[in-house]
Formats: sequence, structure tokens, C-alpha cells
Amino acid sequence: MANPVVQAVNVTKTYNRGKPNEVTAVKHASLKIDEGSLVVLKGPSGSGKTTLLSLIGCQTKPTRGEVIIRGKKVSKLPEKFMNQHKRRHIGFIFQHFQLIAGMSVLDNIVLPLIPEGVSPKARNKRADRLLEQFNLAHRRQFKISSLSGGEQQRVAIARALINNAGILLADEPTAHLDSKLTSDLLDYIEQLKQSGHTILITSHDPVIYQNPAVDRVLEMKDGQITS
Amino acid sequence: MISGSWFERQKNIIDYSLQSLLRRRSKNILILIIFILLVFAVSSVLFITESLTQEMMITSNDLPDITVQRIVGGRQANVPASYIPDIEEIPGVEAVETRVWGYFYLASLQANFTIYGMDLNLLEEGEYQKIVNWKNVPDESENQILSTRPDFRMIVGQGVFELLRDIQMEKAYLFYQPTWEKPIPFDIIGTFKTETELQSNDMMILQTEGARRVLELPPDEFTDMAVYVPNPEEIDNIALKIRRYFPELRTITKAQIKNTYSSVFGWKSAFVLSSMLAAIFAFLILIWDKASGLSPEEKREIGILKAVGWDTDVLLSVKLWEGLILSGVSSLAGILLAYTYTFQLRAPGLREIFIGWSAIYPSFQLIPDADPKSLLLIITISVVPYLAVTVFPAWKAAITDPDVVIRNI
Repeated sequence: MANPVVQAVNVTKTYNRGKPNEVTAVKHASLKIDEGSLVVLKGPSGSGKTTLLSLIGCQTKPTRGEVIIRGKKVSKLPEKFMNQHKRRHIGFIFQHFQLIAGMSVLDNIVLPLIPEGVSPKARNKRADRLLEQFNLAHRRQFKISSLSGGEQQRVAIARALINNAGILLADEPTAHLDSKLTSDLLDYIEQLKQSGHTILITSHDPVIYQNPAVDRVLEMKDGQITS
Repeated sequence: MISGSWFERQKNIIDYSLQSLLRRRSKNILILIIFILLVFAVSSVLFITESLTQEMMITSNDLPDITVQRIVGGRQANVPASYIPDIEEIPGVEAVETRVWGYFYLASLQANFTIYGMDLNLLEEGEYQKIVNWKNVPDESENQILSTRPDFRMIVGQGVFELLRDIQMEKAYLFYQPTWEKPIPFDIIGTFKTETELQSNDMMILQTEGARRVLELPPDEFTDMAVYVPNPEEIDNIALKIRRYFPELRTITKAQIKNTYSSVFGWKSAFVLSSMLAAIFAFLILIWDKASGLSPEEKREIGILKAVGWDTDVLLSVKLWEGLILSGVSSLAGILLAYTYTFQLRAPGLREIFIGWSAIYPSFQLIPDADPKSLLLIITISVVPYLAVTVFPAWKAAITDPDVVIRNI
């Protein structure tokens, strides 16, 4: 039996607790993802996919339940240790890319390495490799605001990979891409899977969840995993 | 994942802070300019206050322990010599010296000057030799002092000398009043080079006999008396005795004069700062508004940095460095500008407020004097509040889940 690198155990996430606008986005969700597999979490808008991905990506803590990444109960860790675990094991591609517009491509990509104390020389060396890989070398010093949507997508992927994390999480990665860029993205994802990355993607795009490279598709509805 | 040293991490944080300041350069330049102006204004007032107080304090060290004046009908009157033996007999009094001095209006210069009478022969060998600059006077030398008319010689402050030179009277000056039959000529034998220019600049030291003529002071009468008391503990007590024995005499101790100097400039400083209060307050509100309110863009940036794994303490370090760099640079620039303005440019605009009678007062140089405590105070009141207003909102944003900030939940 393969080793699960990501586990969610009966997690629940409630926002604005005790307030009139309280909402429970994820209810008693459990999942296990094995090392090196590609899993898609599908479901309609508002079904809780992004929240579950945020919980697994250590962007927020569950109200109840546990998230375990590489054997460590990250949801129980103090923020500093949770962040350290996140920096070292998880790469996150956000739905709207979440790049800093006033900064250059290079500076955006190396952001996760700054708090680790990695020297500028070492940071740039690693970033240059990724820039080459994602065909962005000619845009190295360009401001994010001057890039096309596809280029921004690739910068976001490069940033997620800069820390050599084995787990890659992507939130609706094709939501803002045309069919050509979607196809390119799928190529990158397949390459990453082949290089041993564990990948979890949220999407309601059939091009993603019907792709033959996908090992498992989980469906969410009303905050719960239904299949 | 490669992790670097603590030092490398701090270097990265400072680099990021500098980049962040440069990215928002228009906002930060505005804050920088306002900040520099604020620090400059407050520092200038403090510098000029300290310098003037310092100058007065230097002067006051040479003051007599007790100055005795005679008051008649509520105004100062001449002191007859008959008081001297009675005051000398008071136990604890070492010496009583008489003084001849007064003010003289020089119509040709439209200025009021202080005239002080003393025995100029003392200048030849005594301690006063050092404070006179003989070389400032053309064609005069130490050897020629005794060759001039003994009762009609004078030494003038540098400011007086410069004014007299402008009217070609740098060698000799004719004192004249319309009520006199003829003018009284005085030879100028030197200028003061004392560091206490605030006191000496408008001063003319005349041979006592000549001073009596100019001030129209009768023989055996003096302007006031200087009483010297070796034991500082006894000064107040002796001053009290003089007032009790001679109710018409007023005493002023050295400590009282020092307090007056200190409070006069302290009061003026407070007055100027109060006048600037509205402007300072407006500037502070502007800085607060610009510095404390995180824009949606800045909040989003903090959310992104947290989302990619930055810790709250790293984010706060970034904001702390940003604040330190901005407020530190502003404070230093403001202080340096104030120093140049006060001590190099002689505080135009502000000097007149502090000196008061500038229209008839000759120019003088302010003694460069910056008290480290004042500098520390300026830095504390500028840097610390700025750090508070910048770091606190950043901390509030940084403790929020990145998920909430990014998704705007």
C-alpha cells in the first residue's frame, strides 16, 4: 500500500464563528492522497473545494479535525512551525495567481525563499532554472503587470516549485486560461507528476478531471466529499 | 529546501524592506519630506534655544555673586560710593566693586549699544589680555596702547567694530549728544574675540573716566555694585542682609540671573513651538494617514507573503525596518538641516524671534551646541510613534489567515 503524504481527518471549517454571517464551508471531510499521485477535487462553485485545499495547504486551520502532511499534524502546530512545514513541503498555485504586481517576475518567484535566509545568488540560480523551464527567461525582470495571463500562470507555478516541495496544490488552475494555455498547463502538470510530485487540483473543468493522467477524482458538494 | 543563516535571513528582510519602500516611492517620498520638515522645525527651535542658553550660561560664569542696584521711585538710580564700606563690613563679603555702565544711542548707526567703563590698563597684563583681538584694528599694536590718550580709549565688540568700519570710524569714534558742547573722541584700541558674542557684540568698553563723561555720571557715583562672596552657601543670606540694611537697594544673585536666562529662552522656545503646533499637528495627521492606513494593495501583499509561508514575525520585521529606514533617514536629515540652518546660516527668521531686538542688534554667531539628550529626544518622539503607526496595522493584517485576506472572506 502506498504511503499517504496528505491526510485530512474529519475536518470542518467554519468562518465568522458566532457572527450573523457564520458559514461552514467544509463539513467532516476526510481524504488521503498517496505520494506521487494526481488527484482532482471537483464540484460546483461554493461546494468547499477551495476551503479544503486551503486547509491542506496550511493557509488556514480547521475548526475541527486534523490535517496531516508527511506524517505531521500541521493543523495542531503553532503558526511558525506550520509555516516552516508549509514552506518546505507544499507549493500552492492560487486561483487568481496572487502575484505582487509591482515586483518583477524574478522577485515574485523567489518570495518563499526570503524567510528561509537563502542568499540572493542561490535564489536567483534556482529561479533561473525555473524561468528556463517555463519559458520565462526573457521576462525575468519584467513587472508582473506587464505579463499576459498565461505568463502570470507560469510565474505562479514557478513560485510554487521554487522551494522544491514535493506536494503541489492548485486551485482552479484553468479558470482564467484559454484552451491552448490549458493544454500547456496540463503538460506541465504531467511533467511534474512524472518527476514524483504529489498533486491535488481543485477544478470543475472536465479537461482537467477527465485527463488520463489523473489518478483519482473526488467530488464535493455542500462542504462534504461525496465520492 | 536550503536554509540560510540567521544573518542571511536578516539581510534578506532588510533588502526586501528597501525594495518595498522603493516600490511605493511616491507615497514614501511625501512622508519623507513631511517628516524632514517636522524634525527640522522642532530641531531648529531646540538648537537655537540650547545655543543661546549655553552662550548666556558661559557669560554668567563671570558674573558677580551679587549685583546690587539702587532703586528710587521704582527705577534704577546711581549708587553713591558711601554704601561700599557698609557692605564690605557684612561678614562673608570678600570684596565690593563698583561698576560704570549704561546704554548709548548712536544716531549715526541708529543702534543702541552697551557702554562699560573699566581700567583698560588692566588689559595689558591681566587675564583680559587674552580676550582682546588687537590685530583686528589696522595700524594698532600692543605696543601702541599706552601711546593713545589714556582716558579716551575703548575696546569694542566685533559687531560694533564692523558697523563702525562701514562708516569709516574703525580707528576712532566721536561720541556726541545734542546737549553737549562738543563731541568726545575715543580711540579704538581693539576688539573682543570672546566666544560669548551674544554679550560682547554690542559692547563698548571705555576707560572708566571716559565712560563717566559719555554716560554723564557724577564723580563718586556708580551704575551698580558687584559683591563677591567666597562661600556660595552664604550668597542668599548676604543678599538678604543687604536688602534689610538698605531697603532702597535691590540685589540680584548669579543664580537668579542664570534662571532668568534659562527661562527666557525656554519660554521663547515654548512660544515658537506652540505657534507651530497647528502645523505640526496637521503634518502628524497627514503622516498618520499615509503611514498607518494599509491600502488594499498592501493588505493583499501581506496576505500573499503569508500564503507563501512568511511568518508574522518576519512580516513585522519588514515593516519595522521600513519604518526605521524612513523615520531614521528623515530624522537624521531633519537634524542635519536644522544644524546647518541654525549654526551655519544663523537661523534667519527664527533668530529674530529669539533675540527680539534684531533691528538694532548687531549680527553674531551662534555657538554650535547640540545636547545629545535633545537629539535623543527628537529621535524618540519622531521614530517611535512612526514605528507604532506603521507596525500596528501591519501586525493586524499579518495575524489574519492568508486564506481570509486573499479570498476576501
